Amino acid sequence: MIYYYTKTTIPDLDTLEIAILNSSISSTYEYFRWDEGDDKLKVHLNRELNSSEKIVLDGLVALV
Amino acid sequence: MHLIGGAGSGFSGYSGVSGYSGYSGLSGYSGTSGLSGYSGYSGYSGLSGASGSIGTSGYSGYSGIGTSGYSGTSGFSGQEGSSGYSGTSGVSGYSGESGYSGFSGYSGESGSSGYSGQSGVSGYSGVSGESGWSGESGESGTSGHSGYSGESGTSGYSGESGYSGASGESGYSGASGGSGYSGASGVSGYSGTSGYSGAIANYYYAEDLGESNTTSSYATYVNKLTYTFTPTAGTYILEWNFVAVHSSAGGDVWVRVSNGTDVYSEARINCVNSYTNVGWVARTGFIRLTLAAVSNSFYIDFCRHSSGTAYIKSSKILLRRVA
Repeated sequence: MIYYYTKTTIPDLDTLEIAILNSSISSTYEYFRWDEGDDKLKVHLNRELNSSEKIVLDGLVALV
Repeated sequence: MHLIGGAGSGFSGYSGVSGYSGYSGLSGYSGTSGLSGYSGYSGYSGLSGASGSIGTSGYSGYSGIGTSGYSGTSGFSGQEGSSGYSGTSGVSGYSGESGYSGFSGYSGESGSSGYSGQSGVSGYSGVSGESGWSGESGESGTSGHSGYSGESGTSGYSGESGYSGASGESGYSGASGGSGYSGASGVSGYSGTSGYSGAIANYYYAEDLGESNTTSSYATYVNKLTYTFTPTAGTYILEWNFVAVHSSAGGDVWVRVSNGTDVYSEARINCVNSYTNVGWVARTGFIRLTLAAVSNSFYIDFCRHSSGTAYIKSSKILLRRVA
């Protein structure tokens, strides 16, 4: 499952990774990907998140 | 006939059979006048012979064989000046009744003349005798050899004629005219920019200069650049290049170049300096490939080794057909 977030500047994936690995959704995490040009942060997870989990992810992504 | 003209030069020309080459008298070289000669009154060769130069030149020569004679006062071989090229004149110089040689034979302005050329059968002087001819008009003026006026044939009485005009324009013996500068035929040869020789120079490329990063760990590559095309079957050189860096000094980035099946390059690149410290590392490579005329895809993929973030940018793939 991939979640997309708009990020017009390159995000700090190291920080985001630490945050997600320390969150309640750490087990779902695979990796992040960001590309200049499409300005989308792609969050690759091993499953779809439920609504509460999605809120957690949104909060984490907002940090970077 | 091509000659390079030139003022003050050359051979004034052979006026061909034309008649008179001008006033022998003062003219230049009367030259060997061939059959000409008889000018009606005969005998008197006119002033010819007394040739010499009006100008600086002149060899008068003799005015023909035998009976030629009176050239009258003809024979002016023209003034000096710069003659032109008489070229091959036609049948110039009909003198009509008189011995007037008309313009035929004219050697042009002998002066710094050019080539008089062959004047053909010019010079019929009409009634009069067989004279006419002035022979080789010689080098009047400063010119070169005025040339031989040819055989005057039956031209006759030169009578008063002979005046070949006060040179200058005179003596134009037919179409000869100015020889002009035949010379250089222009800039031949250069065939322009030949440039590439067709399909051999074909090339194809894709690039993504933008920056990408990932936390995907080896060996889960993520794609950075894909190039897909259907080539003309042949031999190609596949080239690639990119720069990569890791978020941490000492971190490792993996980059792989492949066609999805065959891996042309795969490397773990240790980055001494971090992304923050602009530690980009450049890599390039190439390989020769024989491609069929089917769809082919080439990829540059990357990932980190196990931790941190891997960055890549300025990724390019180039295919050049070489055979």
